Amino acid sequence: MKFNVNPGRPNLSIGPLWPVGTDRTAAWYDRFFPEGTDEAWIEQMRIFDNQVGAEDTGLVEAVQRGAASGALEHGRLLTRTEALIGAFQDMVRTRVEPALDRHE
Amino acid sequence: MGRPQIESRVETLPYSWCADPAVAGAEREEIFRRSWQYVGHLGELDGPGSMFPTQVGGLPLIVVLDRDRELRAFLNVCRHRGTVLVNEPQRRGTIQCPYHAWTYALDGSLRGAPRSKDEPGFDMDCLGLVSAQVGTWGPFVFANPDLEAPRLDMALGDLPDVVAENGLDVDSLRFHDRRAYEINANWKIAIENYLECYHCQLNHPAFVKVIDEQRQRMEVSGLRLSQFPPVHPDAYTDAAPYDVSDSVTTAQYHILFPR
Repeated sequence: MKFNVNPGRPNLSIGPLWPVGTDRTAAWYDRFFPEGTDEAWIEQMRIFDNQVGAEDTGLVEAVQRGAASGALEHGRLLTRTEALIGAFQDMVRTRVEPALDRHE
Repeated sequence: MGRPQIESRVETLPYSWCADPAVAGAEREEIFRRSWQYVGHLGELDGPGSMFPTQVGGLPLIVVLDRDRELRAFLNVCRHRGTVLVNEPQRRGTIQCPYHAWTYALDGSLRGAPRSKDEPGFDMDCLGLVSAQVGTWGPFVFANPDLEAPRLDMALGDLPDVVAENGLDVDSLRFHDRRAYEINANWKIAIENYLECYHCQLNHPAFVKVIDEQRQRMEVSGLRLSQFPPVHPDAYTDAAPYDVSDSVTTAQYHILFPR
């Protein structure tokens, strides 16, 4: 699940993300604001948020094309700058490896 | 003394994990279908008998407010032939299958199945809807199909406290809008992109005018992976993409790994 709080007026978006295939991910999110938050401000932030999201989609889909191509076995993380990715991948390993072992 | 820096291992997961159906199957069963997920908000429930369809990791669910205003969740699948029962938010006294009219009470018990009286060995008591766990944090509703899983507060961990400590009162929030999307990439790649801002200077020119990614704090706590970038000082004076001059001076970007 993702939880985003952007700068500015109080706001929060929350939503799940899940795999629908090895190369496809579905997601949705709900956005929340205090009652009476200026709609023009919300619209400005929505445009900003959507722009960042569209930029990320292009990046992520390019990683999929390269990583899943079989060209390389793995990548090299920056252990501090990308420390959260390392922690995330450890969480994935912890859940997935025992299940894969059971099926071998 | 400064905060100890988080460090990770050097190698990524094998890239084959982004293409291997066996890995995808293990992830679906071990991560997504036995975990708490956000499924909607309390504003979608308008009194006893109101319900809305949702999903957890691709499993269809219904969230229902029963006659006693108790929040319930069930697999949204008829025990007869597997039809999805509820396709849109509604308010009614029962849950009725649109295929053969099997009818369930709001507590999930089967109350009627046409022609079943003539059916030998038909046990209504064994054919109720399959329950899921449901819980709330502020206006947010979460569900978990695994009845054996730890309760919601265990899955949320310290996230509610962290959000509150950073100045956001979730009880003051009202639903505004919903957006759904799909990405042509493995789910892990999408999450990993979210978990670093190393790519931001090059790829998000508007974003780096709003937040100061080089001063952001990262945190791992239980299954919570968080980034806290402060507002970029220039955003208060230059033409930021939107007005950031209000109470939220540090952004919060959290991933809660499913539990």
